Amino acid sequence: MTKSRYQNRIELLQGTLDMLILKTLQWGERHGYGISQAIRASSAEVLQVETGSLYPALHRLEQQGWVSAEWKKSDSNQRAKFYRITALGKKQLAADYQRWGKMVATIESIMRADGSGA
Amino acid sequence: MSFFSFMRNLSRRKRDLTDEIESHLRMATADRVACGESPEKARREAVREFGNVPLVADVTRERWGWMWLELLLADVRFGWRQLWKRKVTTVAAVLSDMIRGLLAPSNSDALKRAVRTAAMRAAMSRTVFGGTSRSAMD
Repeated sequence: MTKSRYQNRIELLQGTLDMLILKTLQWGERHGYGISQAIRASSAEVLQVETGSLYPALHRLEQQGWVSAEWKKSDSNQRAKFYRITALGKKQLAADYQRWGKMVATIESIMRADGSGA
Repeated sequence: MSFFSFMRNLSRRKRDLTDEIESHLRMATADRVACGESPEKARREAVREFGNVPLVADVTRERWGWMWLELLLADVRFGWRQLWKRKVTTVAAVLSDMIRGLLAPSNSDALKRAVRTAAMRAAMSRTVFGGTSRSAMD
């Protein structure tokens, strides 16, 4: 059962992960584990963020100055590295979302094309 | 950021990442225990779900990996440019240090020492004036 559920999960496209992480952080600061849980929950368990992509992405976003990080105690009194979106990150999120919309519309128009335009 | 402060940062960041992965595993384990799994099974499953821990750490580190070389090259290029721009000062510094070295016969490699001193001066002028001197010079 776990296996079939896993197969139904969609792998994230490169670039969309950054956008989803930034979006998740817009709701408040979170640690890496919290981010992966939030994306999984808000996608109704469809999207599974691989930790192999999550941590490199978080460190890349930090390097770009789109998120800032700080070690803090979590609710369950565990020490964790919390990420917070920066003003620059919010700008990036808006740009990413716009580009995403354009890409979806473009792919959609290709899929709907009947071939007469070619 | 200079090469030296980057190297200081690097060891701190490596430790930081190990701690971060460990805290991820601890929280995932705790969630599983809260759902009724035994602590041993919870930890095992959390590690399995996380995937290849050393690989994740490696890939994340790769993002910083070659940066030290880039920073070192940038520092060397900057130092050389400083020496080149101030040719007169550089030549005067090298000559004066050489003469000083020649006057002290015990020191045979006077030229090497003189160039090193000049390079150090260029590096120090960068440290003292920071980024402003750099952008003003460019």
